[in-house]
Parts: sequence; C-alpha cells; structure tokens
Amino acid sequence: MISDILTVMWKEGKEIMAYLSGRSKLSPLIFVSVFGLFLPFQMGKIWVESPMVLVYSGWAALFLVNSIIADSFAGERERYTLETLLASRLSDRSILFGKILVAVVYGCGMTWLSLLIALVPVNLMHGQGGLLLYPLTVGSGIVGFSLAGAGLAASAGVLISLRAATVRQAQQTLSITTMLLLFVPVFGVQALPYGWKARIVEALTAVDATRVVIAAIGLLVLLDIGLLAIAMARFKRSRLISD
Amino acid sequence: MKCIDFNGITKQYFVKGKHSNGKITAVDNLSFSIEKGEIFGLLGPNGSGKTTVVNLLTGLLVPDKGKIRVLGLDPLRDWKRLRYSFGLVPQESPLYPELNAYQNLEFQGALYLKSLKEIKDRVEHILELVELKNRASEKIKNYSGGMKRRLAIGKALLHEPEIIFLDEPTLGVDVQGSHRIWDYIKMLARQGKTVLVTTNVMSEAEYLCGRLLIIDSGNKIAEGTVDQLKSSLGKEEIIIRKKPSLDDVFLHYTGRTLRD
Repeated sequence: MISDILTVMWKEGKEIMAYLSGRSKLSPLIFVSVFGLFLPFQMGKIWVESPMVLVYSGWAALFLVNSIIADSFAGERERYTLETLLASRLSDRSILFGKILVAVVYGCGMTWLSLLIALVPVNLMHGQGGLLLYPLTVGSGIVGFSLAGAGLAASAGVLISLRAATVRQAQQTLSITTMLLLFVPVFGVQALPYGWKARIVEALTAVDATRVVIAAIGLLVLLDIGLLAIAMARFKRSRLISD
Repeated sequence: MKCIDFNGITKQYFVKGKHSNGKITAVDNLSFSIEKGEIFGLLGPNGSGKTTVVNLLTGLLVPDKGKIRVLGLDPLRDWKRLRYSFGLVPQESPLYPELNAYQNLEFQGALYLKSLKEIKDRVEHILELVELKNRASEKIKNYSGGMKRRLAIGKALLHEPEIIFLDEPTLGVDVQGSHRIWDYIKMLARQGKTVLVTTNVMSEAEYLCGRLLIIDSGNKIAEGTVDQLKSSLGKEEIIIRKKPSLDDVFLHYTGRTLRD
C-alpha cells in the first residue's frame, strides 16, 4: 500500500507543481516574502522566541493546505479523471491517504521553509553578533502545530471535496468551514461573561505553557483523526460515480 | 468462451431535483454476453444506459439486481484481480491536463508495472503506437480532441489488458482521427483482445463490430450481427430502400424522438 500511496503522491505533486509554475506561480513567492522576510524583519527577536510563531505555523499550514485540497476529488470529478482513477487497481485508502499526505507535505514544507528563511532577516538585523535560533520547545511546537493544522485542513478538505460537484463549490464550503472554525472560538470567548473570561485566563496562566501547547496539539490531532475516519467511511466508489 | 456475462441486471439511480424526485431506471433487466476476442458494440441513443453498463462491468457501480461475471470474476468482489485485466476509455478524456503525455502514461505504468525499465519501455511503445512520440513532452491541455482520444486509448492499453471498454471512442474526433482509432480497435481484436465499444455512430458500429446490442431506456431492443439486424427490418422498408443502412436499423428500433 505504501508504494501506491507514493504513486498517488507523485501524481498529485506533479499536478501541484504544474499548477504553481503556471498562473499561480506568484502566490508561493508572496507567501514566503511576507512570512519569511517582511514580518520576521519587522518583529525581530520576538519572532523566534514568542509562542506567537506557534500560532502562525498552525495557521499557515492550514491556509496553504486549504488552497489546494478542494481540488483533490472535486477537481478529478470536474476534469473527468475520477472515473479512471477509481477504476484503477488502487485501493480506497491509497487514493485517500495519497491525496491527504501530499497536501500535508506541501503545507508543512512551505511553512517550515518560510520559518527557516525567517532566520536570515532576524539574524542579520537583530542578531547582534550571536546566532538566533528557535528554542527546542518552540521548534517542537512548530512541527506539532503545523502538522496538526495541515492535517485538519487536509482531512476536512478531502471530506468536503469528496461530495462537491465542482472545485469552486468545494472551495466555498471549505472557506466557510475554516472561517467558522477560526472565528467561532474567538467571538465565542468574547461573548462569555466577564467572570468566566477571568477564570479562563487565570486557569491558563496557572498552567505550564508547554502543557497548554501539548493539549492544543492533542486536541487538533484528535479532530484530525475524527475527520479522517469520517472521510474513510464516506469514500464509496459507487457513490462517487453516481453523485 | 464467454468473456463477459451480464445477466438480468437492473440499475436505478435516485434523482433529487427541483422538478423531479425519485428513481430513474438506467438499466432494466438487461442480459447479454460477449465472447473472448470479439468486438461487441453497444448502441443506444443518449441516456439509454450505455455508460451505466460500462460502469457496472468495471465495478464502479453496484447493480440493484442480477449477476455480472467478467472473465468468470465478480467485478465487485474480485475487483483487485479484475482491474489488471481491463482497460477503460471513458467518454470524457481521462488524462490530467496539467501533465504531459509522458507523465500521464508514466502514472498509469506506475500503477500496473513492476520496474522502472518496464514502465519506460511500455510508455515509449505506446507513444509510438498512438503516434504522439514527438509531442510527448507537451501538456495535455494543449492537445486536440483527436490526440487526447488516441492517448486515452494508449493509456488503457499500457498494462496490456485482456478486455478493453471504449465508451464512445470517436466522440468529437475528426474523420482521419476516427479511422486511426478504428485501426487500433481492429488491431486489438487481431491480438485476441475482447473489446466492448459503446457508440452512437452507426458507420463505426458497422465497420468495427462483430455483434451489436441496441438498448433504449435501459432495455434490450435488438441483438445480432449487422446483417441479422438489417434483415430484421420488414419487407416494406426493404422495397423503399434496397439495402437499409445501420442508421435505418437504429432509428427503426429507437425512434426519432430526441432524448436530451
């Protein structure tokens, strides 16, 4: 099964590369310029030391995966390539995992690349003779958050793309879902009574920051697994064709 | 020797729409069989159930009733074994438009062949066969309809399957391209492969197929060789036109009403 997953990833990767080298060749460049050069240059030392970079790594990976995952099945359906893909000897899981993994690799790869490039302006402008690097705990957090964020977007995106008739429809549904996912907790917390908010802040400050990060990553991973399980259950060849 | 046995198959789709809600019968208690090495034509107007038959044979759809055997195997239960044995050319281009011809064939090769050398050799052979070697590095989105069709057939032949399903193989292809595709299909039959062709083009069916099955609204209307079908028309019509064409046979059985 692993070689089949790799074959699907190879095909998907070639398609993504062809897409990015075409009309959309500027978007990864803009992404790396903003998050790998401009923001780190402005923020300086805080960029490598603050836990804010963890939020950024999760958000960036999620955003990058979102930009390509809607195409996974809806794109195959729109281009009429789904029929032959499903009629091939590939198993359901190798198709599904191949598409999810390639999106995760792209999302995390671009995020990590921008974070590595970010070390250049930070060190050039704010290094003061020393070498500024991400502390081990922050580095581990970056890896954890970006993988969990990319996994969340990939499994949710595949689930949406499985049933969408067109890529546009999948993108719209995915955008609304992402907005709900990001804004509901923010506005939800703001809507809480003052006393509750104070208690939450008190509880969070009392707990070790590393534990909070681990708990957040754990929660995201659980969500990833849940969505992946639903996507696996909903992947029915006959329904994909007759839909 | 029976290669395909399609026995009493019924397939219904559930349709949910603004004006209609309910079940549509795409294939209705349909039976036919295909012998090994035969070019079998499945004829029918648009929406008559031809593509559904192909999707049922390839295991992409589950029949509501009846039994299907392809090379003695069940397309649903034995799908993994069976998928090495057939090649599918669907109605629409099954090629990835952002990839070039070589990459499209390479992907197919990676799914079915064992070594990189084997993949390379077969890809080169297929590109030569479909006369696209000098355009192999061009993206598919720049190909003409005929080139896409030829490459799609090449893709289906890459793993040397025993059975080829061709769903309207010359749809939107010019005369020259169509004749070249017909040559490939004839060549496959000479190699002992079994071919199922669905088509609306009567000259294509007449030229290619040993036996034909005409279906309409998922029902069997007529079956036989071209000569048998032609002679099945009444005497009266034979007087009007000495020798009816296959178009006449088709229209006689399916009527002149537009389906879409």
